[in-house]
Amino acid sequence: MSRLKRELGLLDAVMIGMGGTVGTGVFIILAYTAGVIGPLVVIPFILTGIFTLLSALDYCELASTIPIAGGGYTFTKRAIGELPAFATGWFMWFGNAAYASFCALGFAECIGLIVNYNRGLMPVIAIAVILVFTFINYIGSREAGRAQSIITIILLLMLCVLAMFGFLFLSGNPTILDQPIISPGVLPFFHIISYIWVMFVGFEIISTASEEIRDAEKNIPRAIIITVILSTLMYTVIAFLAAYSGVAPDVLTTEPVPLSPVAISFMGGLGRPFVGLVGMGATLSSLNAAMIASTRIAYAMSRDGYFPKSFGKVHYHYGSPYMALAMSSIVALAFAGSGFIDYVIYMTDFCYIIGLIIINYSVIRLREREPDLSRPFKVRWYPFIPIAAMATLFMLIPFIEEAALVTGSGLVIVAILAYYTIMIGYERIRVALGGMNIIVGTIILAGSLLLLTSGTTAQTIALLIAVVFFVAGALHIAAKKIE
Amino acid sequence: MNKLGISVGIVQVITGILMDLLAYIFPLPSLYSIALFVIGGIAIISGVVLIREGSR
Repeated sequence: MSRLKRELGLLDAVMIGMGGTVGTGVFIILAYTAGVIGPLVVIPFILTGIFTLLSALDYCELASTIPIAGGGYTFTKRAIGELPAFATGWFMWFGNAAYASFCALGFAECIGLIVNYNRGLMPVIAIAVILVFTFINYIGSREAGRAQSIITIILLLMLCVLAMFGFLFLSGNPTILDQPIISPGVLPFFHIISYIWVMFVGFEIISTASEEIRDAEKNIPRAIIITVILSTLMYTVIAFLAAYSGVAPDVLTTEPVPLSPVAISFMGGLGRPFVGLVGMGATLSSLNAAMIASTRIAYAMSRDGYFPKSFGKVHYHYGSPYMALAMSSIVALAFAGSGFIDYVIYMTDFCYIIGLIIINYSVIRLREREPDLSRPFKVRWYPFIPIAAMATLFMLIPFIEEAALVTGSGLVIVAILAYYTIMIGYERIRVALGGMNIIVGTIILAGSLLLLTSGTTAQTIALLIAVVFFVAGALHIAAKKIE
Repeated sequence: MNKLGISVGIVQVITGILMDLLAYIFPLPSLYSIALFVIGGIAIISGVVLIREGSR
């Protein structure tokens, strides 16, 4: 299997992290939260920054100890074992692909600030932009890395310009700071933290490109810490300015791109196209970073035999893992096609949270299993930091939207089934399929008898479908004997 | 096995596709649509394997 080229430096690594972190969320999520809880919005942003730093420190230790492409998945594989490693890779892969969809949908929202179009076309635009970035990444990681750095630097400069206009606005309207601060209670803060969590996890993307970063043992921990601190600082400042922008809370909570009215308040008529253009750049930057991360995870999982070997193929000319890229694109396209942006946000949160819980636990297990391993970066106050990181992540799960929790739980079941299916071979897959058919047939049979009126067409159709499943199940199980 | 496998496989693939299409009738993302997607997906995979094995 071909190896990736080490050609990205510290700046590129930070830009990959910042590109993945400071992106779509600034435009779609940040000002919305300011509308929900007002000036106190800075508290959840600071708290989330601290929570993220706990996980980031663990990540630094693992990334500096095991600098191999694949990120969290490769850490878990070495520290805990096969199934948790598969689960981590699975969730981080889905998480990054879902995040890419969120960025693509965010891009479609930002276009709406420049050009009026039918909102029903939003998923179509999101799908088109994912396809374009699939092609860009197909051309190679060198092009992706450079495009990432350029887009991210421009984005950060633009956000600094927005913040500068915001402070000028405040200095011209000092009375706006006199508005009363109303505490919403404790629970809304946790709802906000679980919602904005997706804006902070870009640091994870850096380590997935470990095999392409020079002097990875030093550069990855530095890049991760710089990314978390810079992004927290930037979010907190912009959230503060959004809360004091003079825009009514109900406008902030109903606008598709809530940063747009904030920018209009600071910059006048220029604000709308400004946010539209910067937003388009930012969402594309995040999308690119998420595509890189998702692809690298699929590449590493293929290398270790969890995905088909063909996913590990690297293009002979461009040097990109093109089959892994194609798989990641398909998942991203499926999420983008739904068009439900909040659902995609919470799905991303759920996947990252589950993945990060296992990764944080890896720090503890690796210290126990391989205490003498060379660790260029070591977490201080061990084991309190990894335990605190896990506790904060567990705490966020109950605040995730119900639909995302249901889908996420489904993903857990599918992950376990997929793992055992891949590991046990084709003959047993057929037995497993047979079992699944019989279970599904039983569910349909029970449902049709208990829920549907006797003798109706609906019940007859349901019974026929149940019979088809039973016959298929029997054929799968008996297939080998008959042949 | 061959003809029966192919026939049941074809019926399963069609049923699976119809179930996945039906899932769009329910407002996504809901529990019903997710359940229909999953069952439809199992039916399609199972049907494809049956057709593949039956035509050998």
